Amino acid sequence: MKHIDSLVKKDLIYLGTSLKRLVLMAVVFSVFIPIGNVVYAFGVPAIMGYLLTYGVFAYEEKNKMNLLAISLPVKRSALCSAKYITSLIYIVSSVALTILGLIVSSYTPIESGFVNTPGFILNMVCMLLATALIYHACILPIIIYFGAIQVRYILFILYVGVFVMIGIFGEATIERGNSLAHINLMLDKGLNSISSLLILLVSLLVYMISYSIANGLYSRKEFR
Amino acid sequence: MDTIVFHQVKKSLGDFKLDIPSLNIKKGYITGFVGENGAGKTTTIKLILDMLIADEGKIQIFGMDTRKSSDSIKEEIGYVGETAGYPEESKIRAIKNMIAPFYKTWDEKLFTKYMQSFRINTDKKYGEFSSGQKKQFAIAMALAHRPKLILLDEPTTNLDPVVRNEILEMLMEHMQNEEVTVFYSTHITSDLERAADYIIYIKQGEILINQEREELLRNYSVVKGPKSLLDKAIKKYLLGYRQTSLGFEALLSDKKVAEQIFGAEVRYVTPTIEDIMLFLGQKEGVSTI
Repeated sequence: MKHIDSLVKKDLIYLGTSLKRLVLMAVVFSVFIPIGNVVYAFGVPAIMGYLLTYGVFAYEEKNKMNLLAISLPVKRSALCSAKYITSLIYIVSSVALTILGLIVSSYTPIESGFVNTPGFILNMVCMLLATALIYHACILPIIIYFGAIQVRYILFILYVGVFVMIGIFGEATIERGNSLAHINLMLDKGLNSISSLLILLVSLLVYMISYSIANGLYSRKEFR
Repeated sequence: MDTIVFHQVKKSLGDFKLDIPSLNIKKGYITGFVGENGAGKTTTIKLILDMLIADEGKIQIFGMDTRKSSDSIKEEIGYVGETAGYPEESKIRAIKNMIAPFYKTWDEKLFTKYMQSFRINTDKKYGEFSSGQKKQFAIAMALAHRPKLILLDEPTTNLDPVVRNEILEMLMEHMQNEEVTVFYSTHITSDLERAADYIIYIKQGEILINQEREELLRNYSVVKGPKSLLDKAIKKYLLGYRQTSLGFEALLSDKKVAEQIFGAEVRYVTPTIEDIMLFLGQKEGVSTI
């Protein structure tokens, strides 16, 4: 499809010029949140989704940039594709930053539960990507159909909900006194590389199904 | 040849209903689209741009259906809305670099020429410019890819007369060099007195007038006379009227009919587009006594 690259670039320019603070916050959260407890890494997709994906949509709507986008000579499906590709860029970047932060922290005395082995990292990457893909697969059609500003409270509740769940789960692992052994067991032993990759594939499929739903919604969307 | 053709288009937005059974916008001319706020001007333009989807009917531009070929159609459209939608924090050059790749026919020299003539520094941020310069930039962006159709939705609202004049001059100059159709929605009718070839008047979602401007101003007439002439039988011929303590003023669509009705008892004045808009807006008649 024509111009998807230009549309993605357009969103990234918005981020780089108008939403720098959000990018900085997203980077800081991606790197530092999981350092104390590897479980918290699973909250990063929610942060990325809320800060960047929702942030750009809301910024565009507030400043009527969505009208500029729809007036450009591109198909509606290209506009939708560009949003999904941009979200993928955020997801991959944040997972890379999170893993980088965890690897660096593994050389410090901080106990996060992270095990610096290729198997653990592969499983961790797959699980983070899967969480992020599924989270975005849920929020993107909602934003596209209803508009970011209209559903801000629902997205905020989803965002907080993810964090509360992860917080509870993370605290529970610590309270058990087994120093995150539970998570380690799941990521290091409970999951082998094949099952991790399978989960990742399923989440990719969910993301693609979400794209096809969003595409259908976008083709009938009205820009008032 | 017509650039825009509406076929039985209907659109409902809440209580508002737009109903355009037929509308043809002629190629190579400036068509002024007037009507009060909420009459349906922006809705019509958004339907043309495929921002809104008609409940019934279809719109063709350059012979193509707006729902099926919106990307090809928009390649040939230069659109300026009330808000441009450019990021305030971005530099003019960055915005240009962001938008230009979407158009095969982008003319960098023409863009530079406009930036120079409007004294817009492309290294400054968009948000640093006045509202007039922002609008000039938006119009330059719309023209720099040499569109065949220019859609202007209230482009001069809130601008001072000097900037409005510069924008109109720019449009007129552009039209002299290009074979372009302009669809110009505004409620500042003085802009159209100078520039428009055709006038379309819309009220409550329905098109009441679609005529050549000169013909419109030649045929329509404002009559001014004593109140005693304004009886029920006469009111049915009037498109709109208003009464003052001194007499009445009324609009008729045919000067000859007006002369037959009133003879020499009233004064006949050629209306402005604003007069037509005001009288049609007050169809039931108003009293300013």
